[in-house]
Amino acid sequence: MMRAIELRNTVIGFDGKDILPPLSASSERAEITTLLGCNGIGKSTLLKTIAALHSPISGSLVVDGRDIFSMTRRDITATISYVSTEPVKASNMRVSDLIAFGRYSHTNWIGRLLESDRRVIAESADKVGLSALLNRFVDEISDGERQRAMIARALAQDTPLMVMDEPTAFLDTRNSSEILNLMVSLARNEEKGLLMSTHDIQSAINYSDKIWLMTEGGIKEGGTEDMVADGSIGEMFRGSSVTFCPVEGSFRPSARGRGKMRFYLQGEGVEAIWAGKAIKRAGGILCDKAGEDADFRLTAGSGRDGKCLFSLDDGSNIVTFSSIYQMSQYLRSGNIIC
Amino acid sequence: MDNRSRIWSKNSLLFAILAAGVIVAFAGSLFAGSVAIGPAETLRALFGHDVGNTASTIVMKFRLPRSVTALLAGIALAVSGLQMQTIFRNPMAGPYVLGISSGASLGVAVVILGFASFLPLTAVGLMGSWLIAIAAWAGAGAVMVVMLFMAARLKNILTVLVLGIMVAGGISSLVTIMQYFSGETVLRSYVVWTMGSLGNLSATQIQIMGSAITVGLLIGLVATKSLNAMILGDSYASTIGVNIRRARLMIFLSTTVLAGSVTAFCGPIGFIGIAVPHIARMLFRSADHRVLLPATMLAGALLMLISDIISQLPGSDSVLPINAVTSLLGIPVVIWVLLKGDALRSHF
Repeated sequence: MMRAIELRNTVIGFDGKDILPPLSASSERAEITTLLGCNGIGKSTLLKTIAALHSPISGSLVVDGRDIFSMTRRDITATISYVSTEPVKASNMRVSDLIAFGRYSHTNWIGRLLESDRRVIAESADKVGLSALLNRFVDEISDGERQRAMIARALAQDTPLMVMDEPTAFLDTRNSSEILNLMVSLARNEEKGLLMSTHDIQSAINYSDKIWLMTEGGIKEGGTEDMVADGSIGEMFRGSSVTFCPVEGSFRPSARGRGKMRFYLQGEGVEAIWAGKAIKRAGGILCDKAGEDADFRLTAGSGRDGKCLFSLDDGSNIVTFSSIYQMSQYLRSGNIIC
Repeated sequence: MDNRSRIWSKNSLLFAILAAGVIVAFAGSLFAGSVAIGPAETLRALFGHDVGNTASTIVMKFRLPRSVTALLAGIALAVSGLQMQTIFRNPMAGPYVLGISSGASLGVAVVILGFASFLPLTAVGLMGSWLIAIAAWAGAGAVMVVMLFMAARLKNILTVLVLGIMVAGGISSLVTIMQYFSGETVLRSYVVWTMGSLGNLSATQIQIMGSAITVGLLIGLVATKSLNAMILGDSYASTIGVNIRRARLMIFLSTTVLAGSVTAFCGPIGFIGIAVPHIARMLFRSADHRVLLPATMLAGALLMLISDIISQLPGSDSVLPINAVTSLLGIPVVIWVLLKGDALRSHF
């Protein structure tokens, strides 16, 4: 494994004022490291510091094996590329011109693109799936396409490390998963060290190898699954209106309500799983065994016509539903759970 | 790559048309004036025949200097407008709107109203011209520094524009106070200067202006590549390898020299700087300053020469102040940019 970024007691901030205690963390080449943390905690400042847009106040910052203080602007440009959510507004710029900015430090004084530069630009556009849009103007394409163009620009810079501040912030699920899949292939196939921030915990868990969790106390780092399993991720949401479930790796509204009813779920398949989720969302508790401690027994199974049926047995009555929605409405309206 | 050559040939054609337009307008401006002088006579005068006769004197002493001045002023103001719109990332920026011309006026006012009250400028001759030029650069540069400093803190484009109006207003108050305490003769020469004029420049003054503008353009040419990257904003520009500080300094020097020199010798001329870059962008549909710089130079020269011809009111004895003509031609372009909608959301 090759070290990509290493923070050693790095103090970050603006105008000489630190915003957090000294930070220590590291990331590797060929991996995706995701920076998580609440709004305003200083994620962008940290990423900008790593991209050499701010200077660290003290401590050391090593990128690709070199101390950032010993690097010239040219060295840094050749080592780290940077993508943020800052919009680029230019009505007369073509997508190919935008991607070409990645070649800035490779071209001569007037910026003449050589055949080799054009090849890199075309390849970068191809990787993000923008080949067909190269001649379009950047104000004519969608937000998702523009963000992909910015990533292609960073790719054209041809650096071993990439730092991205919320690269998927304004993208819909489909666009954002395409970008994240691209990140995985860049990390694995081109051995790039990727560091990005996001507010999307779910995709952070699905795609990253390592997580840097930024809190007021500093950075806690670890492998993605380790961080989920040891409760670090869940800790972020303590006291908030959502609860992170380390078993499922997903969120649900924090438990609320008084008389919590316990449900025993019978049945296999997707329908049974989602019926269970509906009960949890409504505030009920799922229990493992039937018997004394379950107030209800919910059975998900096929009806006579092959459609799924849900039947709820409270010990004396059995009510049958044709959809989970119907069941949820019943649970709410009958004041069974509240 | 088919598309690339198509754009290239379209641009070549546009450049050829603009260049031809500049040549025609330059010739037109040579013919424009209260005395009718035919093409044949004009040509003979230009090539040094008939030295001494009235037509030759008018062409060589008045019209040629005026046309050359118009050409230079158009180029310089338009290029400084282009540079300012890019480094301020503000489509409404220009030397006039952001108070750079006012700053230069203050410099000139200090020289004309201040020094000239004690000793006549004509007596100082060459020194006087240099003095005016240097004072204008200093004034323009000072305002430019203030505006760049403020714009870095005020992200809002409109706020920066309002600030430009404030700075221009403050300077004009200072100048008014200076005028109040000035003698009648110097006051008159200052007021005439403020109306803007492409004529009345001595050969020395044209030389000073011409060489300063050449230097300004050369600096601008060297800064072209970084100017392109600055459209992306400082963060991106910096991470792709632009030395922001150096780029800003070069563009600052270039703009100050270009706008300051023109203002020093021709007075404040409005709306060429703000309007021409938009015309160039519209014609060439490009954000690349390697295209926009020459395009702006040609379009600026063309618009200024046309303004000059109009200001001569062909067929009459009167001459309009050049500033009035450039405003009437430039303002519709600015309004068009505003009406296009998202101009104030930073659009290039």
